[in-house]
Amino acid sequence: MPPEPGRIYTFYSYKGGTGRSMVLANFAWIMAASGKRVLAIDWDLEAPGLHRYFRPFLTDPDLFETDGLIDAFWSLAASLANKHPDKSGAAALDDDAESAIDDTKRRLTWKYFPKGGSIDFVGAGRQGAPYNYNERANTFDWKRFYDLGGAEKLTAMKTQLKMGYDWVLIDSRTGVSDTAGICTMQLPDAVVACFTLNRQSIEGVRAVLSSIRAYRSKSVDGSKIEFFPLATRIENAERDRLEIARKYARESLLEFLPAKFSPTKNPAANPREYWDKMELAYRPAYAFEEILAAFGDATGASGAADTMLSQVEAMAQCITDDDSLRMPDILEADRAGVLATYALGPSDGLKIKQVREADGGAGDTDFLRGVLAKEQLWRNSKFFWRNLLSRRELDLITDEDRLSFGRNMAYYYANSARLYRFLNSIFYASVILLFPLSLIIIITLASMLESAGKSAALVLLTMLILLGLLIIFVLVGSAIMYRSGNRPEGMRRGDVFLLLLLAPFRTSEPHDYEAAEQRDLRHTASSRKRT
Amino acid sequence: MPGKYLSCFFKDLESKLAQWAGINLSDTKLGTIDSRVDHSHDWDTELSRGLSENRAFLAIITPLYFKRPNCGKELAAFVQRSPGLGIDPNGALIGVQNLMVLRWLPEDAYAANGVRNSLIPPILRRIEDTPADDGGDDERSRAIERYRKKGMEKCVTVEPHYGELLDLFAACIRDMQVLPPPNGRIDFATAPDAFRSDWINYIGAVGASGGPVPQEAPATPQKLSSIVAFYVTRRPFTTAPIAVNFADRLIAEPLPGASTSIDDGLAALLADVRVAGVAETLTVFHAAADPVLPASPDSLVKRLEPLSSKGIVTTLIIDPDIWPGLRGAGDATVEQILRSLDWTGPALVPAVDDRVTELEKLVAARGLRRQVAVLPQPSEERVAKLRSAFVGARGGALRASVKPAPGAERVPLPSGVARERG
Repeated sequence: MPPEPGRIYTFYSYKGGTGRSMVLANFAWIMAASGKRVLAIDWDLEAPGLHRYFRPFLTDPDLFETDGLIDAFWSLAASLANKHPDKSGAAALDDDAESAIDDTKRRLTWKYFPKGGSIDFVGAGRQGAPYNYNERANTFDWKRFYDLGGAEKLTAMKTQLKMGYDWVLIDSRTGVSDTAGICTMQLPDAVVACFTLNRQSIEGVRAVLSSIRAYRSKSVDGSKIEFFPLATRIENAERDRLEIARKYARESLLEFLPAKFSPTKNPAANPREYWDKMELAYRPAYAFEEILAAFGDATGASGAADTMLSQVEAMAQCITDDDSLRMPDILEADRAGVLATYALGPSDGLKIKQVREADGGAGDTDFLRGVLAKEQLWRNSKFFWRNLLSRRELDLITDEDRLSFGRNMAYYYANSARLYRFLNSIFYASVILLFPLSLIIIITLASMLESAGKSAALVLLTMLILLGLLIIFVLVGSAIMYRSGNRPEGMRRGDVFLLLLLAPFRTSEPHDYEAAEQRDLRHTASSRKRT
Repeated sequence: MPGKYLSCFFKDLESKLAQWAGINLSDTKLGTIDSRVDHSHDWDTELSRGLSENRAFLAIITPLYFKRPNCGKELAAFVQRSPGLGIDPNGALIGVQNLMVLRWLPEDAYAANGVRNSLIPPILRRIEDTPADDGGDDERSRAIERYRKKGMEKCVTVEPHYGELLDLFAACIRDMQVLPPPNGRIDFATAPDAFRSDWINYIGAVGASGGPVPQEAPATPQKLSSIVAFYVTRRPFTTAPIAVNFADRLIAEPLPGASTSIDDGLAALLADVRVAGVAETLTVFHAAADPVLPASPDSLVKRLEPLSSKGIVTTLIIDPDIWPGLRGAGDATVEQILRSLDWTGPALVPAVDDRVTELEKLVAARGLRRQVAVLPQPSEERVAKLRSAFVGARGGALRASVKPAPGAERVPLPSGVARERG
């Protein structure tokens, strides 16, 4: 079966300095950490900078040795210029388009994305003074490129990219330039429009979104385009003025909200639900170095915490309409190492060394990375049973690990889709079996009471028999279930026994494990020690 | 020193081999690379040890590789470990064991005047530089094809091709037989330069002929992806044995160690022009008129004009002995060529003395509207200047030569703010 085509989302801002590249980089990271194939393209050819956010993960962090988008377009232009009039097949165009972009893609070297997750990066072009980046970018005439038939190339490229990736994220040029037009009008399935709370930014975004909508309504393919306005650099210092600006922005951009949140398209919609997730506060700590929130904030600062990480997560959840998205846990040793690479000044090598030593050796570190990656897959695949931890992993995890992860393995079991089917079968089995069992117990009890009177010893004996029967039933049932093919991977015999007892009390649907009580955690983890 | 991608490739290849062999790289290193030789260590000793003891030699070739004596010495030292080493009548080494040649740059980088592989010295022409493709895996076939066309640099960290190629190269090395101990000591310091040695006399025996090396057909200049540089010079050069219809003749680039009559300065300039062109993904043709400085400007302009009008980047490289000269006959002819509006492209003058440093003033004084630039003498600066000139010329070619395709779409432009709302 062919893979489902991906989506192209362009991140745009009318004015610079809105944090557009930062938003894109963080969104890319979250999606890759959810097991998605992501391509991030720096199309801001006049002021490229997206690579700064991926610096620790690029083999050539400054792009002094790496060709980029502008080089790909020169190659495409040459290919178009030399196209023989009789040999202008769509297939040839597709090959050229794919090859040109392929030459510039570089995979980020972070190894701890879960299986399937990756970020490929296309920079703007080879940087550095001797390489004439500015001249290569400025001498490329987009109008002439279109005259050569460049629009057709771009369409071919769009199709190729969507087949190769789940998410293609484009960092667009600001303003109303030709490259901004290509990025926002021709290519995307959706535009994430970043703006700050001032008139020029809001009005600019509004005007551009209007023109995109008008263009797409007239375009031949008639494909729909979505918009996600995103308020950035929110400064809480002047509350009164902030409220006025916020109200102005929300009213101005109301018509561009997704249908789910737009009162004009959906009378039951509440725009506030949208804006609650689509605001990013200004945080001075992020102003000096281009740091991903996954590393800038500890993972403990996610969820309800008021941090960049939590806001980025909320933004990603809103854009993807997937509330299970989370930034992945990252080991403190890895985080310290990455932050040192981001640092403008000298890095604190001693601190990194200490953290790594405290981590307990490379073997454990790698093991924990694997567990964290699985956790991320588990959460983002709606608790799919395949992503349960293996028996070995369960055995190796200590109570402290569980506490530091904030995760409860038993809770994972109780929420897995496979387990639900498993529990359903247990439930029906118990209904079928309990009826005759209950009849036998009642008949036995009644006959005993009738023949021997109501002595306390007899009642106690009867109760013991009842309990014994119940235990035998559960033991037999759990043994059968434990051996059945439906048992979720990694589940132990004791867990099956407990779950069989608790089957009638299961929740109606899977819910967020974050709500698990710490007492459950300690209770279920106490018997497992790292070997 | 190796670049970022080369270092990355070396480490990844070493890790792969170590993983297969069950070796922990934190305890030992498998490979030898110059960046690992510390300042306090003896360079010759370290390299000699690697050349004597390592199982395989990986020659990462670029056109510059063949010009570096140290690269030639390393190669010569290692190939002497092959017991069956020989050389065929065409000068190609045969019977070489455990030598893996790996192309780092795109295939155009090894071409001069559009002839593929013409910059690869004869001694390496029988050494396979592409992994074998058994055709059993489409992904692998695509990876090999990409490597063949684009070179290894453009494959590093480009997935899934990179993983496939790493596996292939690592498997080649793993499967190599262990070479017998070398006869005598392998010494880097005293080794000859492989690219400048008389191998037939050195080896003392001629091996079996593998037949003549096939001569590649030259490519023709392409729009926006080729540059034709016309040289106006009195320095001696060798004419390439290729007939083309866009120039009277092409100038041959000399191979290392080959006897040639070309002036050293001109040979270096040809190499720099080619390097700059390849860096901007342009195929370079070194062209010349016959005679080199025609008596009338028209004959050269007639060569330049059709190329320019087709969108092929053109440039004129003028020796300062000829222009800006002493107002002789040649001076006037060149100025007429420069003033001509029938062709586009820059004129470049290599700096050899103070005269050319005043070129900008001279151009302004004589009212020349063409871009005329001085090429500095240091090779690195000269290449940078050439690249800049080529990029500008290519931009001009794009703007000047394109006719809109029928029904071509226009660039979509977003609208700005029409008027401010209340």
